[in-house]
Amino acid sequence: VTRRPFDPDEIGARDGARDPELERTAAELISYRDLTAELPAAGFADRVMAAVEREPAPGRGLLAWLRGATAWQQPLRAAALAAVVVLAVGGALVAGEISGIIRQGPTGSSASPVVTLTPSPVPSAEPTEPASETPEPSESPGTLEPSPSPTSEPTERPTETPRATPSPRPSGSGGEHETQTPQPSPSSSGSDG
Amino acid sequence: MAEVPWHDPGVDDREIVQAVLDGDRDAFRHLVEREQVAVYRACLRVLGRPHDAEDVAQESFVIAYRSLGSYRGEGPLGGWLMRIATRQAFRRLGRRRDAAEISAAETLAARDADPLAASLAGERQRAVRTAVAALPEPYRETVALRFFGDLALEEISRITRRPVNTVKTHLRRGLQRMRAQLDGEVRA
Repeated sequence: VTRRPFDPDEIGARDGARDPELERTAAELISYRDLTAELPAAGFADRVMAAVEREPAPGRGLLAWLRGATAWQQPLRAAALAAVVVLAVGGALVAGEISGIIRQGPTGSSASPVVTLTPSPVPSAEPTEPASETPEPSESPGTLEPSPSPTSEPTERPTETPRATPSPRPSGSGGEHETQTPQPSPSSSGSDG
Repeated sequence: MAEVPWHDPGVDDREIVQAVLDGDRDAFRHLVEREQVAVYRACLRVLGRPHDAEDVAQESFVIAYRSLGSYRGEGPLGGWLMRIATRQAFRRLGRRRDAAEISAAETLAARDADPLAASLAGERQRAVRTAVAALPEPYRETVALRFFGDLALEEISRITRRPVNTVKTHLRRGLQRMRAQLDGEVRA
């Protein structure tokens, strides 16, 4: 980098026409620049280096590391690159295997993986927490029944069940209460709001 | 205007970077000593206050040291550093705005013997500085790198990865907007 004086052609139009107003602005900037051509205080570099000393060694980006290489480092870097590629491919394969196993799980036999997987998307779509709580306490004893219910029904019901939260009274509800609990909840919420 | 080259062409930038990344802090000192004046001046031109300029210049060197691994050799190392410095300076300026503009006593022009001349010069400096700072990006960066950082259009083009003609257009438009603001200030 070398310091270059300003050339009015730098701001000339493409057809070569010059704009005196722009040149006047540039002249003001140059005048300002020359007025501020000062030096930093003595010892500035020392202070910078003192601050740098407190820093950990600079990190080296992987690509930069792989790219910038002297001749003798090339084989080492090539090996490192190969290792990274192998790890990435291997990781992808393992991830694929795992996801395949998980997908096959529910069709096979065990219901437990289904329970762990299906509820998680449902609460994320429906931001209310009580929805996830109300079905579980009522149906908690059964290990087989909860798994179908979160997968199919809660997508519609949770919008209503949260309103049932202000009325925790219907605790003595039976198995069919899923159809009935929504009814008191709108009335109670309507009275609140 | 002094035509002093402030970059030492004898040392390759990549050698310096490589040495620093290999743990040689003296190589970084070499970079600091080589670039300190340019970086400090650019910060001073943005901020107007020597103390702030030194502070931000130091901060910029530290940031550059931390992120030296991301320097890809596009454009000169000094230009890369200058870009960091001007960004940091504008950032600092943005934080400082609410703390009132620089008082006349603090401006460089105030050191002039004639108080009236100093006041007028200080006012004009402030106007120029404010007009540059008020520019939207990428005009602000282009104007600052060209006039505060003393980088050539080709160098700005390389470090910003924009075509030279684009840089030229940004410079023109930046100056047009500045003109409008400066004229508006004179009228006011």
